[in-house]
Amino acid sequence: MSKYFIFQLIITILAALVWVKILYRLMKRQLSWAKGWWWLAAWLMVVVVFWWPGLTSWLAFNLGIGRGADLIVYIAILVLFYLLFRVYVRLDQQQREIGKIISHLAIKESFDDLKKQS
Amino acid sequence: MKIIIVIPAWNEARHLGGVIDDLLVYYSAKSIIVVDDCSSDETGQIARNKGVIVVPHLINRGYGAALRTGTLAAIEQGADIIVHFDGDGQFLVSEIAEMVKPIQTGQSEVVLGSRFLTKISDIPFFKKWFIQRPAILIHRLLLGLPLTDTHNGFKAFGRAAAIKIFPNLQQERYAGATEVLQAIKQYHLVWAEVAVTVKYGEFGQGFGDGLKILKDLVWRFFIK
Repeated sequence: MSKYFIFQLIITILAALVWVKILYRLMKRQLSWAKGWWWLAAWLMVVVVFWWPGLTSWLAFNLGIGRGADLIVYIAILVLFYLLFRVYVRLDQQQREIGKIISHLAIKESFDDLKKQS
Repeated sequence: MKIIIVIPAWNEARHLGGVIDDLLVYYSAKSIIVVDDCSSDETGQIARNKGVIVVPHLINRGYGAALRTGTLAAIEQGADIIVHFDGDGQFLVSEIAEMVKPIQTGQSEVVLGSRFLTKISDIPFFKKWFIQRPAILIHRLLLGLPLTDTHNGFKAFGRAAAIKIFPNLQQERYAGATEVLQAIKQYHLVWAEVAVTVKYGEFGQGFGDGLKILKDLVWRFFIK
């Protein structure tokens, strides 16, 4: 049994565990289907790349990039940028929600004060 | 018509007392709302001591958020006309009557104060030509509204207009003023500009604030 095979096995088990987790969250409706499918496909790709590493070289060659490893780095950077953008969007959304709560509490407090005075 | 004056205030202890005193000459304490945007000085206490309505933000949220909160509170209080008035002593209380007139007579739903109409405001050279004029040009290009001034804190809204604009206001900082203008255009509100006097001191928005406003607007455009 080669060292790489052990590595492939570990990655496959890890991906399987992540799939189970994603499917569980989908069934519990804690995750939207759009996001769920995206993550399932992403982890499927990880497994495919580890079992058929030549595939990335073939794809990279056809895209004019050269090495398969470079292609993976480029894709990883793009994905990370996208995820960073998503995090910023979520942060912005939470900020707006906090703003609404603060506004609501402020108005309530001022009206309570008015009631006490009258 | 019930007029309520909304003052957004953040660390305005130096000027706020004087502004409220001036307002109390013309308006009752219960028609003045001060939104204390989590000041670290005595802003909130000064307003309370004057007997006006204080709406306190637990966390600092910014100028736009303070205006939104204050306007919503004024709507809840049954205001027919809501006037936005800065707490730093820039504006003249005596000019509120002129600001609300177009709404009272049914000519306009929103009235915007302008420093560049007939009255003379002592605007510093840099502020006028490197901040305000470019800002006016950008707003005209973006919104297509023939404004003579932008980001002037002196505004008046009819009740129906305020109900349309403020509950959905997204921008919590200075860019909130631009969003108000966008909403005026979006809801096809009848608006007018009225000449106001602005006294300048060590306050108001600087060049850095202008850049922040642009950044907030661009960001909102992308994540909308």
